[in-house]
Order: sequence, then C-alpha cells, then structure tokens
Amino acid sequence: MVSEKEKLKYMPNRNTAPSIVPLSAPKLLTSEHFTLDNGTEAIYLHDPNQEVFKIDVIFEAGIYYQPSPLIAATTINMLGEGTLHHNAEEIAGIFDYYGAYIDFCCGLNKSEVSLLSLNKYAEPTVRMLAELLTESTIPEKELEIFLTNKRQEFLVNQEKTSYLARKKFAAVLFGANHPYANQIREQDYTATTLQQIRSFYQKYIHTRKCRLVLCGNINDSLLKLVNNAFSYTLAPAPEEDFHTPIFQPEKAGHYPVYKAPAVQTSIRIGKTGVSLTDPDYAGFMLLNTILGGYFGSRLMSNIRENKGYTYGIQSFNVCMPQSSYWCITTEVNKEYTQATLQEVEKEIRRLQTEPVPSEELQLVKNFLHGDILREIDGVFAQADALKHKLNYGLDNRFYTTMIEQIKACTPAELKQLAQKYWQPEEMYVITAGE
Amino acid sequence: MIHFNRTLLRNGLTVLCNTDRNTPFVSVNILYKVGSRNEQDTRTGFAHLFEHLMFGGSAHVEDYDRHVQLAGGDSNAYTTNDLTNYYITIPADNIETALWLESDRMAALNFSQHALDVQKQVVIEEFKQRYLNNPYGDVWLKLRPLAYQVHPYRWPTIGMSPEHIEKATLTDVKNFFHHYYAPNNAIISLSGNIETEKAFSLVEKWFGDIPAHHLSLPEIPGEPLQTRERRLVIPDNDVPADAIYKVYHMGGRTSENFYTCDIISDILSNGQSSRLYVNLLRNSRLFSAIDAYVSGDKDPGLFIFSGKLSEGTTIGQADQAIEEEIEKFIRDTISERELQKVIHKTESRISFSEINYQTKATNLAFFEFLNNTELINTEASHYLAVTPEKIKTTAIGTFRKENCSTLWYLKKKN
Repeated sequence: MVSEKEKLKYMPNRNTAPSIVPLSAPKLLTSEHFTLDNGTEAIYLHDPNQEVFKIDVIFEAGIYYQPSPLIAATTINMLGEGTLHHNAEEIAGIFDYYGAYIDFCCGLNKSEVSLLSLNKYAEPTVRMLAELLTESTIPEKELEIFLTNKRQEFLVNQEKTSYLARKKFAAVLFGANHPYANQIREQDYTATTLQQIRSFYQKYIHTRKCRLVLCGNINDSLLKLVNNAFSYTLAPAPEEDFHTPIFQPEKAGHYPVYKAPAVQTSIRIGKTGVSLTDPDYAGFMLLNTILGGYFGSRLMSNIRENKGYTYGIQSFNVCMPQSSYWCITTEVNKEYTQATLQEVEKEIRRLQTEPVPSEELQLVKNFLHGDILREIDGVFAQADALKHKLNYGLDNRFYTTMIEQIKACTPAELKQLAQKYWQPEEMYVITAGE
Repeated sequence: MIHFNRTLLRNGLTVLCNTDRNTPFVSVNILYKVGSRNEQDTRTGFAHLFEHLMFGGSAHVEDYDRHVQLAGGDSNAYTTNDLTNYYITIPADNIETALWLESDRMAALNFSQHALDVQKQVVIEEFKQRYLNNPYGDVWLKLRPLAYQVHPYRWPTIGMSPEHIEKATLTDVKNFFHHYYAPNNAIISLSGNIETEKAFSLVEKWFGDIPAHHLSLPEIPGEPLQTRERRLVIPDNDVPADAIYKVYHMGGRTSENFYTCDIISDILSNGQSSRLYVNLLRNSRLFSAIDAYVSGDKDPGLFIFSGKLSEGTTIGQADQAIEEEIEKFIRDTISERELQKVIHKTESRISFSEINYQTKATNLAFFEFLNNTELINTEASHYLAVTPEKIKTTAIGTFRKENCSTLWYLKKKN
C-alpha cells in the first residue's frame, strides 16, 4: 500500500523547479612527495581503482628561454625522434605496441613530456620515457622533416583570421620581441639549425632539473621502477646567465589586420590580466564569468542569443609566471563587426556602472562553484590542476579558498573590479578580416 | 568492465544506469534517434538546427540554461549523421533538476518565431566559422555527394548550404518535434554518483507520464553499390598545399566488416610507427600529413584516406603513392607483432574510455542506439576476433577501384 505522501513524491510537479542543494566543498586528494635517488622531485596522486597511470616530466624549458623562435617547441618534439639505442620508428613502435600515449608539449615557461600507459605495461614504457630524456640524439633528417611539416601547418594557420588576430594581440600586448608574444615568421622554419636544437637540449633538458608529477595507479612497484629508470638522468649543471626578456607593449588601441577573402571577422579585445596570486583573482574570475565566461554570459546572451551575430563569444583570463592577460574572442559575421564592438563596450560599461542583480550573481556563483568542482574531479584532473598551481608556489587548497572568496563577493566589489581592470583606454582591440 | 542496468518505461523510453562513486557528479545523457540521415534533401541541416532550438525553453521552463547553471551543472549537445545527443553533468544532489529540465523539453518544447530566427543566424555563422572561413573547411561538403548518390550521408550535419537553413519554418520545427522527439525514440543513460534503483525511480517519476508517439519513421534509402570509380578535382582554393582524399564504401557500425576495417586503418595510420606515417611521411616524404580512418556511421560508412602534400609532390604522385600502399597492404602478410600492436592500442583506448563517467554515459546510450548495449563490455572481443586472413579478404573486397571516390583539392596557382 503506497501512502498519499509517497505517491506525491513520485508525481512530478513541473510547475516549480526542484529545490537545489547547495554545492559541496571540493574533496581534495592527498598528494605525496618523494625524492628520487638522484635528487629529482616527484609528486604523486594515487588512486588504487585505476589500472592506468600518467607521468608528466616537467622542465623549465619553455618558449621563454629560447634564444630564437621555434627552438623550445622543436626541441621538446624532437625527443621522440631518436636516441642512442632506438630510431624514431622503433620509439614510436614501442609506445604503440603497449598501447601507450606519449605527448610532447611546449608551454610559454614549461615544457612537458607526458606518458599515459597501462600499469601492466609500465616497465617497457617508463624505461623508454627515461631514455628519451637522457639519450636523445636529435637526428638531422627527422629535424628537417619536422620543420618542413610544421612550416606547412604554419602556412595553413596564416589563412585563418582567428590565428592572425591571436598573433597580433600577443605582439601588441607583450611587444613583438618578447618570447610571450611568440612571433613566428615563415623564414624561421628554414633558419632553425641542428646546432641550436642540440644545444637547447643539452642546456635545458639533458642536464636540467625536472619535476615529475604522477597520477593514476601509483603503486609501490611503479615508484620503484620510476626511481630506477630516472636515476640515470644527470645532475643539474650550474645555472648560466639568462637575460630576462623585457616587455615592450605597444600603445593600447585598435589594430586591424587585413585578410581577404574572409566571410567572418575575428575579434580579440583585451589587456593585461590578473595573476593567480593576486588578492583580486577570485573576484575577477567571477566578474569575467558574468561577462563572457559561460554559456549564459552577458556577451553570449546579447551577441549570440539575442542578435545572432556569431556562433560564439567568450572571455577568459590566462596567468603565466611573468605576466597574465585577459581577453574576449569571437568570430562574427563581417557585416556586424562594428556593431559587435559597440555591444561589447556597452556590456563592459554596464558592469562598471550598474550592480549585478542578486539573482544573476547567485546563478553565476553556483555555476562557477560547479565548474571548479568539475575542473578538479578525479585523480587525473587534480594532478593537472596541482601541476599548474605548483608553478605559483600553491597547491589545490587554492580552490577551497577561491570558492569561499567567490561566495563572499558582493555586487559593489564586482563593480569596483570592473572599473579597476576594464578601463576602455587600456584595451587592445584586434580585428582580422576584410 | 562496466556494470550497468537497463530498464524500459511503459512509454518506450529506454533507461540505463552505471554507478560510479569516484565522482560527486552524475552525467545525464539523452540520445534521440534522429540525425541528418533522417532529413529530406530539400531541408538539410535541420536536425542540427533543431538541436539549437532545444535550448529555447519548454512548457514549464522559461530558461533552460539558467536552471542548469543555478544547480552547478553544465550542459551541451551535438548532432551527428545518425543521432542527436544532449548531456548535463550535475552535482549528484541536484539530479532532479536535470530530469525536470530534460523531461519538460521532451514533453512540450516551446516554439517561438524569434528563437527560430536568431538560431538560424547563429547556425549560419557556425556554418561560416567551420566550413567556409576555415582552410580545407568545405572538403566534406564536396566529398560526401561524390561518395554517396542516394543515402542521406551525402550531406553533412550542418546541411548542404546556408540557404537550406534559412528556409526552415516554424511548422517544420513543430513537425520535426512531433515526429522524432518522443520517449519511444529516445534513450536516457546516467553514470556517476547514483544508485541504479534511485536513478530508475526518478526517471520513472519525471518521464513516466510523457505519452509515447506513434512513430512512422520514413525508410532511409540504401546506397546502391558503386560500380565505377569516381573522381573530382576542385582547383583554386585558398590553401597553402594540395590535399587528396580517397574514400571507399565499407560496412556499418555493427557489422563484422567495421571491426576489421578499423583494425586495417590502425595498421595503416594509428601512431608514428604505422605504415603510412613511416612510408609516406617519414621515408618518401611525399606527404606532410597522412591519415586513414573509418567513419563509424550506423549505416554502411566510409574508409577514408586523406593527406596533405609536401611541397614538390604532384597530386598524381600522391594518388599513386596511396594506391601503392594499398597494393602492398593486400600483397604482403601482416606480421603477428603488427596485429598485436593495434589490438593493444584498441584495448588501451577502451580502458582509458572507462575512466570518465561522462564518456561511460555517452557510450552506454550509443551502444543501446546500436541495439547492443553489451558492446560496451564486449567490443574488445570483436577486435580480438580479427585475423590476418580476415584483414586480407576485407582489404581486397574494400579497396577496389570501382568502390573508390577520389577528391583532389588543389591550391591556387600563383
């Protein structure tokens, strides 16, 4: 016999939204630290439910340190192209045979080599990974193939208005000669020499200190294997003089880039952003989300959902150790380029002059809270998040604090932040298209 | 191994659940068995346009997204040739918000002329951004009608042209909804921090009273056997390098042929130790990029070779080089290690896909759509059953000249 009350529970009431349970605080996994016999620092997050693991080897060897364009990215990508004991095909063959994925990534400050592998094949894949780092030969033929094919990719990118807008934005914001602007020209692909790559490898990878971040099933036998395989890496060489690059930004203002034919215009509007370690960071992230950081943002509602000028418009903040930037990006119907710029300006002004209504504010706070929980959901995501935070001397407790700060943020504070960070005369505006 | 349960509501809605305690979230995935293959050739791109309209509110929900966001959730959707898939990831405690929203729009979507007008513009901008304002973006707009003459796979999900999207009327929208957006034409799958029993009773609560529709799904015309080689040359494109595409008809997603072809494509081009990469990119250097893959469509699909030419390679050379690789593939025996390698790769790909609860929810619904949910745990065995002999017969049967369509996509001459 089902009671009336029970029945009601199972009758949907469509007229009112189901009540919402407040979101929980993030559950942070404990990270363990250990030091390899040769002094290398390793950090790991262990989840015994997994049958796979990931190892990121992180070097202070990003674009920031390269003596000329392309060097850092080329070097890190050449690690898989030949060692003292294996040629490129054999290296790829070993990772492929064990169903493992090896990935090379060059960032602005850090370079990374990542291995994703099944625990049952840890032995051959981890050993191969270590070999890439200690025994790379950077063969000439492979280097030439790499540069030739990258040059073609570059030429394809040059046809994209979005790429041209991004490149111009970085050039005016950081100054074209700063490594963060990463200005690549076609001739750089032919100018890069074997000598340059080998010397960067020697200086920044082979003899440099690296950091290991491991996650997944990090059992004792894996740790033992890692310790053993990486013990052959050399001790770090003494630091050499490094000339700190200087930022030389252009004046703020409008910089059009001509590209025809183009049925859409790529727009980028932005300026220096807010650093992760800045006390304004959480509030600014909340403010940015309201403007253009989620599907229901003011820019999306106005420019996509109301006017149909674009398929998408978004804003975001990017932190780097020496700087940070914030920007809005979109691709719009070329007829509406001016109209879009005006609407963006209007939306920014609204945030500077009118307090955010409390209902909208609550919604964005909830969304952002959920978004942060998703960002650090699971052992792989938490390891990724931690890896990034370590660059700023932080760990994932950062998220707990950030959520608290977001919850406490008031409309008045947001208005102040909009005034502080979004002065129109400080904005760089790039339009790429016809 | 993914443990799941399945039930069927009286109105024909299929419900699947997998419990995963490693996440505080639940992913709610709803698959409607309608894609661009169900469109008329005078109204292409409609299934995808309709997907955009599903976010425009329903009888009791003015603003769909607002409620998702308020509950700390996130949602999105995509349309393929075969299906339309919607998903929400939401904190497990707020699961009912997701079910309320999804059931309300399944029961009674709002139809508004303004929303239709705006979304038509948005989709046309999407068309431009992905297909027109993007180097090589229009390749599939040309290649599909070359490979298919009858089957609706001859147009992409975005549609044949922006004009088709402009033509859509509110009546079309209503008809489409009543035709395809019915519980008996849908699958709901949940994965995440929820017990099966609770999931099933909540789905029953929110979806149980939505009436089934009488479905009269039009027959989809089968593609007749191709009997002659087809070729198309598109000159004068604003691209820095020539590109070549060679496509061959193959079996549908559930056929034995699919698994064999997938293995063949892996031997040819999965990873930097694969044959095409080693021979055509690393050694002969005729190509700067080369790929072989299968489309994985529900109905008989395509085996695709695609490549970008290195500077100095003529399009004729490139075409011949691919054909020679195919001949070699048929002629030479596949080594045990080569086969073992691609099987390992497939096994690990399946293992990695079991980590994420969202992927699990999507895969459960997809395999149910293929009428075989068990495939989520048995796919690996289909790959293991592929033998060198099967590979050889399948390659001979597939890579025939008269089964091939070739597209030469050429750069502008200076």
